[in-house]
Amino acid sequence: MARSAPGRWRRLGGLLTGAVLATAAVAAQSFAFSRDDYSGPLTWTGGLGETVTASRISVRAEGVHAARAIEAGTSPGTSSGTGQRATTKGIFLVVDLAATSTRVPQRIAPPVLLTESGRRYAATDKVNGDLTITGPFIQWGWWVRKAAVFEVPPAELAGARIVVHPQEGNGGLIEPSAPEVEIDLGLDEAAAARLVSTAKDVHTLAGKP
Amino acid sequence: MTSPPGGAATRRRRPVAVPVAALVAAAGLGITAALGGLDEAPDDPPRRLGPGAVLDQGEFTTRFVESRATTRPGRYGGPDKRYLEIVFQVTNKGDETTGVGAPGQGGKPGYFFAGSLLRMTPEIRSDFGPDVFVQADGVPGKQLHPGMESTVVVRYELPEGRRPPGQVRLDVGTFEHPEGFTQEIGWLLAKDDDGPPVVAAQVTLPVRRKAAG
Repeated sequence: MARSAPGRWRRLGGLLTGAVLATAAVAAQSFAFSRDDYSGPLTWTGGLGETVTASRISVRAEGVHAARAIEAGTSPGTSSGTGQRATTKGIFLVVDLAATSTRVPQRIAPPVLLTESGRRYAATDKVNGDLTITGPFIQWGWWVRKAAVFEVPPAELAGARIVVHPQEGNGGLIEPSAPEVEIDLGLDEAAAARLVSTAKDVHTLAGKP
Repeated sequence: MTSPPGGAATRRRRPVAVPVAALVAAAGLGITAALGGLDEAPDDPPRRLGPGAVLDQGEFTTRFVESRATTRPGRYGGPDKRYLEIVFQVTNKGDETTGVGAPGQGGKPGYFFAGSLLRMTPEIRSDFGPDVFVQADGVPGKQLHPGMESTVVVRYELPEGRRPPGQVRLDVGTFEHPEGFTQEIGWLLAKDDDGPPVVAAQVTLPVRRKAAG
């Protein structure tokens, strides 16, 4: 009897230690990276008018407009012809962007509009890409000013953010943790409603590609 | 071994309950199997739809508007070209912009929205398949944006000398969004195990004659 008591206590202690370790192991899982954490891009964020510098590009959203139709100034040598008009059942959101490269020349991939409801709208293919931010090379030393054009239902405008990222590696490499810039367009409900009600009938994309 | 008192009486009570239960279960299974009760239940037959019908395709809500035959003057003064067009009203219910895609052709699977057009009867063959686009005033597009309704046109060029059919029948599939283990998979055509995509609806559209597009 005198020897069984400490043995029992030791066993109880062992069980408790085991339970504590198991709980700790399960709890540690909550610190593990989620799928988005280790495969998603690295995002630099900012607001309208701010210069947001990601690792390879700097981007500034300088203005936001809405329009019911988009007209390309002159777009020679494209299948869409000259001065073609694009229309939509929603509304066109035009974001004036300025971009520069921090190091190497590169191009911008078609931007994405991320809405409050979590939807992702790719930049419209109804306007000639050469006239948008995806057209020119972005180089170190000067700012390129071009627009990004989205086609969205008017109700999705409030709270929208634009996501701009450089085109993926030129060698066809898949880049982990690619940089992207996310800019809040500063559209609350009132601003979004004002933007829609004052939407221009036609927005003309500037000049030569 | 010393048998307890009344041992003879106990020995006569044989354990019959378990074998009997096993026999009954086996017989029941056998009868069920013989009557076809273990066969896989047949899939729901495809719904039969006509012009104007609406189908929930998972990723899209699709209205089958019409099918029409159109003629356009040939380029460079060539003979007129004839087309068979099928018109859909498509609303993207997903969270991301996707494309109109193309139907499968010659064993090659299609992709995006038009990938759900599994088969058309009669078949119209061409080298590059039909032209698929979003019709709008002005520039046509190829994108389907979330929450927006688009008019999608699938345009087949009819081979020279071939008259447009009186009607077309489309075998239409649906999309499902399986949960990926390590990464997002996105929308895929709904299939039975590893079989071909499931035909959810057969849509019959009479072909309307129309002079010019």
